Amino acid sequence: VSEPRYDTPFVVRPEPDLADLVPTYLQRRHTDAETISAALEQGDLEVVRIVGHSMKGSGGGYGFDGLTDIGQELENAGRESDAEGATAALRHLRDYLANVEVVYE
Amino acid sequence: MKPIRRRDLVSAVRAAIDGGAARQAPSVKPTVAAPVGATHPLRILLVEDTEDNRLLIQAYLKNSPHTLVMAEDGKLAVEAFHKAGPSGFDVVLMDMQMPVMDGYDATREIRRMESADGMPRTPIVALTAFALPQEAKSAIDAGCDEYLTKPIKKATLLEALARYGGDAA
Repeated sequence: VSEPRYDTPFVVRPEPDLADLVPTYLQRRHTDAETISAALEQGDLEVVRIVGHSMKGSGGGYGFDGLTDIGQELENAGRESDAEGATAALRHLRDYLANVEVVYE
Repeated sequence: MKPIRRRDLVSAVRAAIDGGAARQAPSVKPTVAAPVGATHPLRILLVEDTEDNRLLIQAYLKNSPHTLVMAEDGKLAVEAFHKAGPSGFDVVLMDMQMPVMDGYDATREIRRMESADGMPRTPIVALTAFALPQEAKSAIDAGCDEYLTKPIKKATLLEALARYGGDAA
């Protein structure tokens, strides 16, 4: 299984009728990253699982399939109390948010 | 005497058609009583704790004829369902993992109320971002009629609503 990598710029094209919602949606994922970071510092993997589960269930709906994948990674790591896996997934999330370019057509 | 709206009439007819069957054999997956090809605006109860997903489904239905009532957890959903009364909703979209009362308990409670009050069986569609493989079976066992896997795409949602008589356009 190849590790998902989002460390170079890439384009995502959400449905135009979601344009009003996408900026807030992505802003909330930045907040998720902070929440996960704080949870990891405290060793609270349950928070990682819950945030991941929610991200998995929403990302692809907005057009961000990669966020669904990262959410799955976070959820799995959280469920298995895998702090190393959760840290890697958090890095993927931050890379994703730093490099995603949203384009409407 | 209040005027009869078409959708109320349709609901009443549907209730008369599928209510008896649902009561006699609650374990059998009910058939949808709306005539084939019939479409009408649906009254939808969306039960979802995540605002991101509520906003998304709201956006999916923005240009549809359907009306959406939203509940943030299972307990609020049961209250909304109770308040709406018989045939108050044409379909329920039910998230399964929620705080306060989850979708399994809420679905069981709705089925219990329907059974106790002799109400027609309202279709309940489980919305779930599966964490565990047995979740689908658990949702059906709790009384859901089918499930959609999150993340949910617009076309998938509209196709599901069309199965319950909603216009897919």
